[in-house]
Amino acid sequence: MSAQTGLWLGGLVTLMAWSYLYKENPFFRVAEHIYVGGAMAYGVFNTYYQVILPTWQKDMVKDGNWSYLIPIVIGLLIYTRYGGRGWNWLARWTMAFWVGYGAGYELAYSPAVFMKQVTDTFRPIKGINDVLYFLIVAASLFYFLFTVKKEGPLPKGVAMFGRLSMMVAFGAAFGSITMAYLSLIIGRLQYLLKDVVHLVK
Amino acid sequence: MDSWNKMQRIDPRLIYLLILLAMVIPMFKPMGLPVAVSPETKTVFEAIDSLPSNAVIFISHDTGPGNAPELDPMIAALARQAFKKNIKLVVMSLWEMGAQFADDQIKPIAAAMGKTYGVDYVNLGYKIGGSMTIRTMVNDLSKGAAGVDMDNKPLDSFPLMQRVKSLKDVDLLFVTTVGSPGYSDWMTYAAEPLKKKLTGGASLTMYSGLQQYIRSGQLTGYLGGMRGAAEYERLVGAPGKGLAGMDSQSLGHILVILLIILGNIGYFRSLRATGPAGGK
Repeated sequence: MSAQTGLWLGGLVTLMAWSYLYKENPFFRVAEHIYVGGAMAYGVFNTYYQVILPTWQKDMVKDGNWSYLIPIVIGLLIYTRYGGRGWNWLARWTMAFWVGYGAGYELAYSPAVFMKQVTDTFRPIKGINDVLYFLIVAASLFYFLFTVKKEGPLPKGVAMFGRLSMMVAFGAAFGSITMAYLSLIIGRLQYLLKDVVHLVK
Repeated sequence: MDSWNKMQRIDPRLIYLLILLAMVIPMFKPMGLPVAVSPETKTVFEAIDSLPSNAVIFISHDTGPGNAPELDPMIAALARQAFKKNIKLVVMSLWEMGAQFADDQIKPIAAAMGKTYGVDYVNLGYKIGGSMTIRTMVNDLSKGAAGVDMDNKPLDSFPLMQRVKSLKDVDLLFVTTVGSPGYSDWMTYAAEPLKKKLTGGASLTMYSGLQQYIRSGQLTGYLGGMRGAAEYERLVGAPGKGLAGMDSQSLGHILVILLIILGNIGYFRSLRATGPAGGK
């Protein structure tokens, strides 16, 4: 398949996917299935040829590192859940190993990142930004202090300030997401108009 | 029903059409709206500019096809800046298609600038495993990459990989990110333990969520979406798809703001006419 045919095919599938904006239709369904199937096949192919096969060939067969068989067996135990009542409990071993190792791993490395965030909150107040930062952090934390009743003008005011600050943050995040989605439309339009039909330079 | 009430019931397809027009028109008639460079983008540019010749940047292009339009232009601009300074690139992705996207960006630029694969850059391809792969690469890059590049060629056959044996041997980490695995894995398992500088770019869907890491210095600046890519292209002096999309982006924003204002005016006017509970 030539490069230009590939580009036309990509353009056609894009238009089929966008047809959903008009209404649900079979072209959209076909595009959706092509995408899911293609992405899955691409992932399986690359995982096999770029990771599993070379690891098997080099680390296990060539270097004789057969200890890899232990995690392979633990991983394969997940499929015993299809083996009926006598066997399906073995699938829990895979999950237990995964969760235990994952949690321990995360707890070993995460504090270094997290603590830096905590210590960075305590900054010398040098300008208006630092004053705002301090007030917003304190008020937002106070908003989530559920053991204290927010009665009286001061606690109510502080909690309200915290809530408004968070709403500003959510608004900024939402604006940022809108900008991202517009960027994605632009990317596809550049592909269609520039790469596929060459109407735009 | 007055015209303001009708504004509450606009057919969404009309809005899609208006947005499409706002995006397409500037592509045919560029307006050249100004693009100011943010301090975060300047920090990214300077972090790369301060590297010596022959330094190594490790790129992880952790994206899928959905967000490639935002992040691909960053890789292209980075390749231009790096190759201009004779900086070497080692590329990979923790997402299935990211490595191919990075290759599509870097290969033509390398060819145009006379750079050789294996000497000036290597693409390790897609590597599954997320944080486990990163931790393995901290001590043994070849082992983490299963010993091969994206075309299944042995890594020890490339001159560049003779001097890059682990992540300890790289000078800067450049990670593009749209989710997990992404910048947070690279920060937790590589940048923090090795005390390496981590920079890159993120989709705007998550850019606001990583501001605190830029502020704390855990991220050395960061590019925010297509806008960040456009700013970076401007600093590198190589206009690409990022800058080309900025007029469309600006017009799209103006349209969205107008629609929000119109929608709100319509809402409050209809409220005044019918009362808070719709007149009931």
